[in-house]
Amino acid sequence: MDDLNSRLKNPDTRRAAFEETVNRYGERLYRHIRSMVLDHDDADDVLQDTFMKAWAALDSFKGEAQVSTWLYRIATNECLSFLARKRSSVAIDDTDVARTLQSDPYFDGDELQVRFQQAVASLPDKQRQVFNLKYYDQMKYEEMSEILGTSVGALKASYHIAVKKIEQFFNEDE
Amino acid sequence: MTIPLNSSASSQQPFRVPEGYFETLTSRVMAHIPETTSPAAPQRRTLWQIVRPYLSAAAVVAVVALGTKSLQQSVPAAGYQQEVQTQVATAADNLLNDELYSYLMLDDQSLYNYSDEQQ
Repeated sequence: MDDLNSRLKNPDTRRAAFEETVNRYGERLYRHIRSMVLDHDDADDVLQDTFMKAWAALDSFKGEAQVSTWLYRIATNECLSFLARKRSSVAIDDTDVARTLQSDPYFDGDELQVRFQQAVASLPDKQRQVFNLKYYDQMKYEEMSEILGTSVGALKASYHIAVKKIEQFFNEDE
Repeated sequence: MTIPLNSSASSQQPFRVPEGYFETLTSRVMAHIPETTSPAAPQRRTLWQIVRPYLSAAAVVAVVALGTKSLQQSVPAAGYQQEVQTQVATAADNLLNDELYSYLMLDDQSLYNYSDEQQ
């Protein structure tokens, strides 16, 4: 592990280290956030909020965990908060997801991909998070466990159930 | 219908970003991060700032002593104490006003630096 942790803790080097952090992890975090919120503008907002909160919380960052783990933890919480706020203001169903994706100029998927995203969006938020981290980020369960604060066994079970639900979603179409 | 779960192609997200989005991401994030300021360097006191309080005290004592002596020579004993008190108070006020005036007129740039920082 390089000295990024210690440079983030040091007030004299903090800003430069934070800039390096954004550079290093920005795209990866964006991809995960986007897989949760779907829309680019929403993903950009949540990503900005994630980094603002990370900056504000630097004093409480103990440096024991990797920076990426810590950032993912903030990003996953921000995603869940965003989705909860969105649901509290408007009911979201499959039709909304399909409409959002089909009208999105930054969505390149075909009809199959739209259905796939609908299936994933139908999962409970936390289960969807597990699925996306495993499926898109190919994250190891051990790292996921540190981020989400859930045991490896529970995460494996959650992913397995998510896959079954998605398969069932497609089977219902036939 | 084929479920794109086992396809390597489907593990790539079908989400595109605006052109240049990632290239400008860092600068856009950092634009909202405050510039850190290093702690202000300790103000170096001039010799005048160090000596002034002692000179002020000495001046007050000298005025009191001189005033007491002149009063002893010119004022009857009955009103002596009251007159001394009045003269000392007046002298002290005058001295403090003079000192304050001098303080305000000090050409000490460090004062202006502090006020700039406050703004």
